[in-house]
Amino acid sequence: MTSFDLLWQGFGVAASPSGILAVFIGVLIGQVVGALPGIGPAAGMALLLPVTFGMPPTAAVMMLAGILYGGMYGGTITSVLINVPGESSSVMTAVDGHQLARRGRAGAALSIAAIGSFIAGVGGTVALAFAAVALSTIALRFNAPEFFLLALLGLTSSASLGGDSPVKSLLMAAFGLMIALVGTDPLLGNLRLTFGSAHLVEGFDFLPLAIGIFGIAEVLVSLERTHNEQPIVMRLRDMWLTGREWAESRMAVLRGSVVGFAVGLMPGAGATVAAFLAYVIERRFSRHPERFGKGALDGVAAAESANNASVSGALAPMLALGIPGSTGTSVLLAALILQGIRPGPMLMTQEPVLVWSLIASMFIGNVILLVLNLPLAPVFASLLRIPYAYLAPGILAVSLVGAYASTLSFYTVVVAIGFGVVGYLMIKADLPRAPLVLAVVLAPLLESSLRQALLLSLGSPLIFVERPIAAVLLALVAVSIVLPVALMLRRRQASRRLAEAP
Amino acid sequence: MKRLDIASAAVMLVLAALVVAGTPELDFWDEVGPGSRFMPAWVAGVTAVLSLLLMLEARRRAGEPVDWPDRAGLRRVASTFAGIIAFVLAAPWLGFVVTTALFVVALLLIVERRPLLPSLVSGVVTAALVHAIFIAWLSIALPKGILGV
Repeated sequence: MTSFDLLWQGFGVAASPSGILAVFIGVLIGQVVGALPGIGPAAGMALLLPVTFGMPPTAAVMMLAGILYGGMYGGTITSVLINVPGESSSVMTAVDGHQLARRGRAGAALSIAAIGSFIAGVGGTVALAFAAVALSTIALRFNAPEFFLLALLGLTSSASLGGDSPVKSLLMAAFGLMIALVGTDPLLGNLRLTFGSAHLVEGFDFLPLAIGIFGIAEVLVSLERTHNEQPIVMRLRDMWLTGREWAESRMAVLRGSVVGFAVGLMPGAGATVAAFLAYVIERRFSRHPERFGKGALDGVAAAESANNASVSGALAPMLALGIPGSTGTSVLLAALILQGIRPGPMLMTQEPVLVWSLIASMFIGNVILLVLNLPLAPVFASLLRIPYAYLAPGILAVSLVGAYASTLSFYTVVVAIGFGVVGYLMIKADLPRAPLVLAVVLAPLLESSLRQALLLSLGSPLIFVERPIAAVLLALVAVSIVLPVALMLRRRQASRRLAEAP
Repeated sequence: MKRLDIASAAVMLVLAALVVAGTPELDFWDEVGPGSRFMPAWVAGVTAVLSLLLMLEARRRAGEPVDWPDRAGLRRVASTFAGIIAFVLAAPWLGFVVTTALFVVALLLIVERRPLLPSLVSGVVTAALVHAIFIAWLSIALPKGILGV
């Protein structure tokens, strides 16, 4: 069976009534959650996890993935109309998009963002199909040493690529590993860090952690301020894009898509880095770089295309290797594991219908989102008039009910609340949460492959350099740790020189 | 942010110590390979090093001011948290659906000071959604409470 046959089969599943319904619900929730400031797609996915337990795995993963890329579309609306980024990957869109809106060009910004996202989404999905097949072919030669180093690379690269303090990112990754250590040793069965508690024997479930750290924490932070911004009014006929604007922006869409997909492929770097990098690169190539920051349509186009393409990019290592490429794919990976499916090199051969249905559903999802964002944009814009205040208590209530529903135990709710407090404090202390979640999801793979590797090598650490692929990965891990340190030192030297200049 | 960074690093150091203290009888290495204490020891060691690095970094950097909430904001967060605790305590008695309605209405009226009618509507709508999704669609046995909902 060639990949085309499998893709055709995938369309058969994705285009069925239940498939389309799952995709539609997913992208709609993603769009809404992405548009809401104060809560991101990861929180939306975490909230929906309890609901997916009753669904077949294929439908569940199509829906959750829909939330992921739908969120990228949704973040644009609030960014452009209210100057509040729906989530962090829309920050660059807010900068230029809102300036455009002030000048009456909100429609153009939203249009180019929607079209760019669609092209990037579809192109990214095609690239995903090829990349997943290619990666899984390589990955069949992977064994324990390679998996350990790949998981480690995922953690260390999240440090160098995410946020401005690599030390904080690595520290939060270590924190995540600590959380994951609580419970039972997967290889030998000994109890660890349970401190005599019967509840902790199973360790911390992913679901209350995700609900707490994303859902509850983000809502608590958003309640600190009252939100009274009124969105800029917009009508359907404002959505028109002039021919010249399209001609100026289409290369930006292409460049943004390529950059976004490449960044998404790298473990640890997600939509936010992709959007920022694409924006910066576009400024270099643009014919009007002085417009950037004051309302550059091609800047918006690049950033929005990049964040959509990065979702497809992040899915490739997640499906083929079991290594998530971003926070959202971490949650998706956890959801698959909860459904009893283990992504990795064997996934493409063992569950081809699941993988290709997911890929097919992404084509469908992007079409649905294009319709929701182009002609229906004014509808969403008017929905933004509902004050966020009315939604916040509802989101909290659903978080708590969802936590209970997953295990029918109040202990889970308490854990969720506990992680909600932890997440709130982390946001206040500017400690990044993404490395923590990445670490929690990667910890089982990290530990078991490390120990298996050392068992294979009879205790010798040389196994990590003797095997060629492992040696390459080890070098990459070293680079990902050294690079941010070197950059930081160089930045400090440069600012010191500036300060000393007469 | 400087003091907060140092505090965060200190908390991490304490946690690293707890990890070491919480695995006393376990082996770092047994006869054949890594034991149960292998990972905890490494994680604790790396955490300790990183915590010290963060303390050093915090002392060097000027840092941005912390985005602490103002008094009104702090009151909102604290009352919301109290509401969450009240939710967990009330749910076994009143059932999840009724508790959800009360929670939403209470939060909207007390914490966010919204008008009465939209708050009541939001409470009812949210409770109805919870019922529709979790009880009607997913058939999950949420506690019903004394009011039987």
